Amino acid sequence: VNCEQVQEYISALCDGERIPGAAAEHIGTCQRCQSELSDYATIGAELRRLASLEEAVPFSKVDYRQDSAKKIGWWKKGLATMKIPKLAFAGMLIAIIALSCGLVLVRARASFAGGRFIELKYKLPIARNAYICVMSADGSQKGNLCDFVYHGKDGLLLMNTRVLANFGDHAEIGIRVKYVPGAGETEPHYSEDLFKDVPQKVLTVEPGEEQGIEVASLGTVEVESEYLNHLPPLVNRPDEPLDPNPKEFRIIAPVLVRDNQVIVNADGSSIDSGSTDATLMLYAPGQGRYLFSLVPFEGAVEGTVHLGQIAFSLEGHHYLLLTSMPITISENVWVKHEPDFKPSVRMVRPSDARDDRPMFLVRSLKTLEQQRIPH
Amino acid sequence: MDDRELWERIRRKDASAFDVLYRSYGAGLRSFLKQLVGQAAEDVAQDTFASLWQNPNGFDPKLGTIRSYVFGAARKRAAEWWRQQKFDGEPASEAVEECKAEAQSLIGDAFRKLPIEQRSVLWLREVEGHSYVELAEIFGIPEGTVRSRLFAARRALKHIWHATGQSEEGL
Repeated sequence: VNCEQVQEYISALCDGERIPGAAAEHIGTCQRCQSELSDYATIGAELRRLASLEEAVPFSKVDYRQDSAKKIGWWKKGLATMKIPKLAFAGMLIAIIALSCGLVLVRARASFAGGRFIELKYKLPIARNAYICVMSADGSQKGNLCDFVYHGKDGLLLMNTRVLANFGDHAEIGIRVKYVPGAGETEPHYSEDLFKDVPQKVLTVEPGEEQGIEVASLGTVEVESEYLNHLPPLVNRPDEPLDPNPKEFRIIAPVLVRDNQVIVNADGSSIDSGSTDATLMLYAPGQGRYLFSLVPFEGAVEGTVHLGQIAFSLEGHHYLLLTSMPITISENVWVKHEPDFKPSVRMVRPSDARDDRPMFLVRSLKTLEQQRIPH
Repeated sequence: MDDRELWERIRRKDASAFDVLYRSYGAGLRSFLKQLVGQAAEDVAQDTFASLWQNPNGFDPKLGTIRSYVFGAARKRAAEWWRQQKFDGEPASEAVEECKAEAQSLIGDAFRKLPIEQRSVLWLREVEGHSYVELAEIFGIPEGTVRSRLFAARRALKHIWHATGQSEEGL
């Protein structure tokens, strides 16, 4: 046992505590440790002397039944006792508030009539793929309607769907559906007039539930509904991203501008996802057709693509084709103008074979160069 | 009157019982607090007693003595007072400086240079005579830590005291 090892015991000895024998033996024989003991004892005595001097001052009688002289607010106390930097605490507080607000917003969105949009997925007995409608469900009259046309080999299915009411956990949908067997070449032009004689069925849909609509001469059309909080880039393909796939050519609501003058402004969409020579055919009444192809072809000029725009010059005019989404990942397309093109002559399907209205279609170049062009 | 009985009467708002408590510990408490908060000792002592009178539910006779409870409460009040001084932006050394003027000995000067925890434990041990068990209750630390903290306080005080004395002698 050495001096350093017994130092704490010297202090304990001053306090009247018992200490280990070895330590006691060392202290008894060590001058240095005894000096230490003496110093500690003196310190104690000095402190008690100091206290005696101070206690000689009369202790004023205080009224302990009164409230504390100075209350310390919890906020001040919290700040005072804070053990992390105040800046960090402020940042944490802001983050918590921001996150809380985010949660409130998310909750508000979720509770806002169950979502801003309703997605209806139709499964037809005559088609392999499901067909999707996304409609606004926030009470506005814009975008709460979905017209759906399916051209089958054996007939034509027309559907007119509208969101009537949204109750948050369920919604009421008005559906008019008509199936025309064997429409084929004689299919009618789509218009709301087609539904004049068709009664509206009111369907109560709940997210995740599937139910059937009986359609005369067709069978059961199954409908599955879902709430969405955002409008997907492609309303008929909600799972598709905004950017086109490598082999995709997307045209959504095209506007063709020639020398600052709009010559085509069409609604709808047409997409080709597999052809290496995917081509857009855009018809403008009185102007013929414009072909925009991903591959060079005879008589075509080169145009440049930037997101949803295609710019090109042709026949002394400057053109700009605008669409509402990115068109292709290619940086260039080849454009040709055929002013004599008439849909009534070249298009097979009657609804396409009209010269008096704009029309557009994305297909392979080979298909569009055929004398009789199928839809 | 034992601790349990005294406290039970205080809980029933028996003013005479509280006077007993006040007379028993008032002077010692103020003296202790003076080592911790200087001139504010009177205020902090009053806060402590007022708090005990208004909220007499914190003491449990099974866990310790009234004396250790009262001094523990005062220590916490003193700690709050210091935090409050820092929060208000007042110079923390002001009270100590005022105390200096009143210092009666070199040991007082040296003592006030110790960290507040060391000052508290050493004062309560040497002046108030609290046992290790009571100090452990007051500070919420194990008895072994009380022993080592007392040792550290004594060694630090001795070092400061001797250094101060030598410097004074050299003048």
